[in-house]
Amino acid sequence: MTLERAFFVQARSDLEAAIRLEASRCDNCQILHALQMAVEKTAKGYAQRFGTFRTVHNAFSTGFPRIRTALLADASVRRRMGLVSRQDLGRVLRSVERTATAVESLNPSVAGRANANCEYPWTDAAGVTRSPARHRFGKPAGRVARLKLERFLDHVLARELRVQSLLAG
Amino acid sequence: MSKPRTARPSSTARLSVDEEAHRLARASQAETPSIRTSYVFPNKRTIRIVHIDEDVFPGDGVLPFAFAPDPSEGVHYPSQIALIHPSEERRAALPRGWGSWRSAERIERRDKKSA
Repeated sequence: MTLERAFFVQARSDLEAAIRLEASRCDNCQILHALQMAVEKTAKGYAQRFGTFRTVHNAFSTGFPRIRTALLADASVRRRMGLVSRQDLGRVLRSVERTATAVESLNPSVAGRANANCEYPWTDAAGVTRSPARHRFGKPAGRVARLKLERFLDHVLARELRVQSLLAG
Repeated sequence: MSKPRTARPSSTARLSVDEEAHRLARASQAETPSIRTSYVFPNKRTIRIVHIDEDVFPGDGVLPFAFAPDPSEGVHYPSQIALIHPSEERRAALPRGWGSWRSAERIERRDKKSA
């Protein structure tokens, strides 16, 4: 297995966890944690292919312009994704950028000590200590935004790995 | 004779599945400008919505994501929600038990621009 494929396989496993958690009554921080892992590893899979940016925790947001440019330039990717037009693929990519960036910003390494993250308690600027399990993460990481990002990742990973959607059957 | 008083739900009363599905569809449209139209499929226990979204990949069909109730966000019933490309509107096969496209109620976004 290539390292690129290994990242996509792991990303799909993380995404499956996120999708299963959506249907459970667990706290949103757990869903966001799994989704954050899926986003990061999808971006790192593409980083292996294109080799154009450092693979850090916020790999999608930092690498997004390069991922987008590389994907748009590759006609075989566009065919595989089911969108022949560069404009259409560009629009779909842009539509998930905000949510992917919001989800990645919840990584403790990215969020820093005083901001919300989905793993560890933090103390905000007002001196109030908060737990991810009781935090409301807001609309950028809300249900509709997550749904759109999950659908995007499911499609991309299924096409890259040439497997069925996680939701099929 | 005075008109019989109709019981009106208080602001805290729980909405029916159908009412909550409509509210959720409208809220999703407000949050997501690329959703053109939504279809609410009737069901007594579960909210079922298909959104027609210009910014999703085509060809996947109706693949609903399941969400647990989230009373903190005003959603008291389980939901199954799908996003499909406009090219698949009223054409894509529906999951078993969802009925037909004809049985769904179409909800246009309120700020839709005229063609």
